[in-house]
Amino acid sequence: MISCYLVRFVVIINYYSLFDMSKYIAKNEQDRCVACGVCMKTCPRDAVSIYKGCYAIVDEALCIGCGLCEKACPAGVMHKVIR
Amino acid sequence: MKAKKKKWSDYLWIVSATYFTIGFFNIVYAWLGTICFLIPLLMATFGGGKGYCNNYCGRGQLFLQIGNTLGWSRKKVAPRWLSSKWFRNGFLMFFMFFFVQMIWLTVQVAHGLEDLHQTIHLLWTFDVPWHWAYRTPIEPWMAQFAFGLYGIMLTSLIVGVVLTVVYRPRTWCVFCPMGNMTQMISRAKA
Repeated sequence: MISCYLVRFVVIINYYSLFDMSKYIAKNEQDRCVACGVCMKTCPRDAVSIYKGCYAIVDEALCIGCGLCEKACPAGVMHKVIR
Repeated sequence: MKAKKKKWSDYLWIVSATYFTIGFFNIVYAWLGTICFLIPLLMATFGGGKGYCNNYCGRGQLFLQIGNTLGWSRKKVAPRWLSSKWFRNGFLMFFMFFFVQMIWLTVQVAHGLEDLHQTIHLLWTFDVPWHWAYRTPIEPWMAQFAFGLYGIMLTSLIVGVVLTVVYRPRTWCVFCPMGNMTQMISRAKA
């Protein structure tokens, strides 16, 4: 019975994404970004999009800071930083 | 993490590879390369942003195939000056100079002032004989434009593949003249 409440508590907390907030996040140098879209293709969470063909933007709520976009960016302007 | 679902547009690298193959045998097909110049500019002008680069550029996908699927890439980040404004714009001017020169030669051939050069101009320096690809009898100026365009396309492919191997896949995209132009249009519209 107690464990049942415990599980429910964890589920609710997770729903408000208080636990799955990662330590890192992707940050883009917008003035140097070439908007090629490699980061967008690489992102496993679809957190990166290209803003009107100008530069990449990261959705902070979706980004888990895995750093895959940093490794793929041909211009080297995507960085994994502490959130 | 599950793999992303592939769309039809993720296979456009096959189109690009086919283009370079058939252009090797018959230069007339080099004319199809104008699509790679017109669509991105039209898309950017009519509010599509860099949708062409992001989703439909067969050449970029070809570099991803070489670098990621085949694994022929060191995956090291390119020098920082490559993505600087002066280099990107400088390369665009350099590229446009040779593009205009190619158009000028086509015009001269059309007016009969120059003979048809059955060569392709590779890496902005070498004139490589390409006469075997001139099979279908077409107007000399049309053939001249085809030779010129195929030279430009092949040059960018060679540079792009070398950069993919030495640095990361799609390092060419960092200073790609088409990408730079579409980004300029997008920035002006945003």
